[in-house]
Amino acid sequence: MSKDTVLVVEDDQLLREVIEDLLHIHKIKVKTVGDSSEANDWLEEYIPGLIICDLFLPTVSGIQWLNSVSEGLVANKSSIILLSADHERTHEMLVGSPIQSLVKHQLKKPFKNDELVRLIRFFRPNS
Amino acid sequence: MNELHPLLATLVEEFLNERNKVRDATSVPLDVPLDVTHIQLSQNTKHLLLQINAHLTYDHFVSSVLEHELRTPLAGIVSTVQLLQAQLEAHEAELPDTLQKWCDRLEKLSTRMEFLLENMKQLHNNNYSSASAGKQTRKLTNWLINERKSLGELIKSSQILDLKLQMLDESFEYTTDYHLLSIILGTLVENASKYSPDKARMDILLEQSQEILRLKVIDNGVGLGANSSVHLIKAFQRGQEVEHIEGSGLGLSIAHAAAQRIQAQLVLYDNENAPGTTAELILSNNDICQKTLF
Repeated sequence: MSKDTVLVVEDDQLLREVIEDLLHIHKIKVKTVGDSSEANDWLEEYIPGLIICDLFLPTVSGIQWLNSVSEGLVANKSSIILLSADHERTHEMLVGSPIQSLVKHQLKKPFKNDELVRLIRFFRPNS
Repeated sequence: MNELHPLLATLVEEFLNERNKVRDATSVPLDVPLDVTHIQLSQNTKHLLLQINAHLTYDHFVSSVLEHELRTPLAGIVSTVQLLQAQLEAHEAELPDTLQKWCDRLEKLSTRMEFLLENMKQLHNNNYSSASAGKQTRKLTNWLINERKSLGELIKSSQILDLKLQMLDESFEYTTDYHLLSIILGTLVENASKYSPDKARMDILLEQSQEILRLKVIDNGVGLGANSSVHLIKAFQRGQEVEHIEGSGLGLSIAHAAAQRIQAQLVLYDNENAPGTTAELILSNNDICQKTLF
């Protein structure tokens, strides 16, 4: 998979499927995973141009996980969209973190499909 | 025991500081760790603190963790409805209007649920901030006209929401927490819509008479008898403890809590000589800017 694939890290299976359907309709390449471990496995072989990540994952927070893989993401200038309900708290967690400059947008759940697609098209490379 | 809730931990710390002052003053050594289970308190006090801690911890869980977690399935529902609607629009000629109507209904229900979740969180955040933190002085009429734009999202698409201003002075300013006022008004409009039929009309009336300011949401729906939420409000007014809130009660209980927070009074009554209900918010006279009106 090339850099124009969007990696979606979301622990809720049904929401993952909905996002996957939405992106397929809009002909956007997508890989969905349910937790950080699955995401790490995928990142060993591929480099995403854009990651959409839920703030709360099963074992670590989305930001903790992103920080743990920040070296590769920073080197490849990947963009990140966070799915978050509390922008203030997310902002506090982000300040000073290695991935701060990569986070382009925080999208609140529930979101408008059009808005998500628009953001992906804007921040995904080669689009 | 479980970790202490931040508010209770602060209280315990204060308590320990006080004791340390006593120790310094009396030169009696007193080594008390920051753990409520080890503090030398009576069994009753300790039991009470543990109960408060359990309540605070649950409150925190409901308003932050649960609020976030509920947003995830809600996001799935909302996005699926949008996908369905997009498909319907693409095949407009082949599908019946009923499907479109059901999609619209699902969308409205999702909006209501999101509204409740957001209000729960905002009220929780407000409860743990200082009383004056969210206060602003604004022209009330401007605020209401602005609010009117977003209130349309909370009613059924066939219903009509009209805004009427009966102000002695439309430029007069009012000091309050406008975020909480938005929560109250939104909840009352949403509640009125829920208990009113399709194509019904609802009025928002801002009324200024002498020294009293009233914000009314008037509907021509089913009236108080069929509205279970009202029993909840009545229970609050009687000072009864309401431990279990379900269904439609949640919205009004949030509105009631927010009204208390801004020192306003929320009352509901049947309309005179007409069907439906009036929800009336009586705002505290203390917060009206003297320079502009009285």
